[in-house]
Amino acid sequence: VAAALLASVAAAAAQSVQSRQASGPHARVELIAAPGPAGRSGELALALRFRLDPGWHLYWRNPGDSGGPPTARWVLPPGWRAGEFEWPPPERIQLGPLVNYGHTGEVTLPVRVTGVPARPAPATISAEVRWIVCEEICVPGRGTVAITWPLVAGAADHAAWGAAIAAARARTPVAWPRDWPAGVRRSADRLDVQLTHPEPRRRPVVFPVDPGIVNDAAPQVVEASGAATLIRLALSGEAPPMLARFRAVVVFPEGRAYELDLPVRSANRTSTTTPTPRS
Amino acid sequence: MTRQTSSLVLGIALVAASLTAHAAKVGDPAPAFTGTDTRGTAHTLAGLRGKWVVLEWHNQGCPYVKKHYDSGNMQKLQREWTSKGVVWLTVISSAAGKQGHVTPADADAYVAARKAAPTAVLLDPLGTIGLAYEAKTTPHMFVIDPQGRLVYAGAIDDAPTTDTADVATAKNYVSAALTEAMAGKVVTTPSTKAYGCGIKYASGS
Repeated sequence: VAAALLASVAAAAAQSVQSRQASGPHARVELIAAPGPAGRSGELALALRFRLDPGWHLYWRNPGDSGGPPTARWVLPPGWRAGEFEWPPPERIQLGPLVNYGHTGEVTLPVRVTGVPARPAPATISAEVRWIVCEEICVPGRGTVAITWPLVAGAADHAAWGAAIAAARARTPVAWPRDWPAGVRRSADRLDVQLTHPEPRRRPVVFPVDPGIVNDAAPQVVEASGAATLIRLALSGEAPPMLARFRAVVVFPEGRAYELDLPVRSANRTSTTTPTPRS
Repeated sequence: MTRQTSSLVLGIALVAASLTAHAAKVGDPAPAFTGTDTRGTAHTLAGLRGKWVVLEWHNQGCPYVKKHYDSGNMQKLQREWTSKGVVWLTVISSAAGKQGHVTPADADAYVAARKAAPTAVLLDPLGTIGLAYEAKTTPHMFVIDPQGRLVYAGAIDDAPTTDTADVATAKNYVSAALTEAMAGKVVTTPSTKAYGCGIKYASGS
């Protein structure tokens, strides 16, 4: 009982000392913020920045065959609201016969906080972060990270934090352009994603946003014809019988990443629903 | 040397191909298997005709598996359902040298130490049963009816985390499927996406 009491006292003491960083096996995470006043927009840019040991990966929002994405439980002053992570483009990570979608190296996950007054009283922003990292084996980690807002001058290189968040946002997938025809057809065992884009020679990789629709480990068969690229995705065994929309991130190697959100057409239906007219 | 390399590449391709083929589909006959347990006894699916069967993929080092054993959840499920006549087979498909690979004695010691109560632990180091079922994670769960049909495949519950505290509030899909199916009802959620650690199959990375 005494030992347990001591441990809980120690834990409470550790919690009261707010740290900007937390670490676990093979992963460290820190909370950073873009400097400057929140301004009229009432927005503040934060980010969780993970640094992973070589060979280890963190998971994207759809982790693929195994694993799971990091989560944050934010504690903010009243009226402030934290948005979702702004996910960077993921990578396909092969593990034997399985495929995961994840991130390696330095991984910055920006978060938009809204409802921030232009001249707030100094306040603590904290997040209880949980994650799992895997190499071949997997190790979970958790920790609480906190900063004071407005940032206190001189404590850290805030300009570098702002630059890191801006650089992460520059890589965040943008909406698929409306003038690039795109369509998705479903047949018995696959989804055919047809994309028309200015660089048909580049082979895009499709990352489904919602888990359990696509067979993640199946190779993506890419066929280019003219300006159009057809990507054949095998459906997973647990794909729902009805699929109204298909959401995905399309990543061009060495290039931009785009977000797709398309209605799914059935391959059984005929001409009236044929996608991708030439524009 | 060259020959060895090419056969290794072929081996990986075959394993990958076998996981992407459609194998275990809910409503269809469950894939046949023969597995040897920690006491050297063979178990076949055909030999279990007439019984309800649960397959639980296991790796004792996996944090998602630890969640269900540290909380006592898995042991509780094993006791509850075996007491109702269900055959509960814990399957270990970790290849030699990989996390979770155990000797029969290690597996038995784990069962004793964790007060687990499966009917038997099948050792599947070549991944034969795992690949036949397209088992991807630990814990990946399957429920088979007395006619040998697959009635549930997927996650153990709806809380895909490693936190033991989440067990209390999670909806357990295995119990739900067994409760409905054993009462002659249609299984409301027959198929979900499994969560957990990737199974450490022989092909490696």
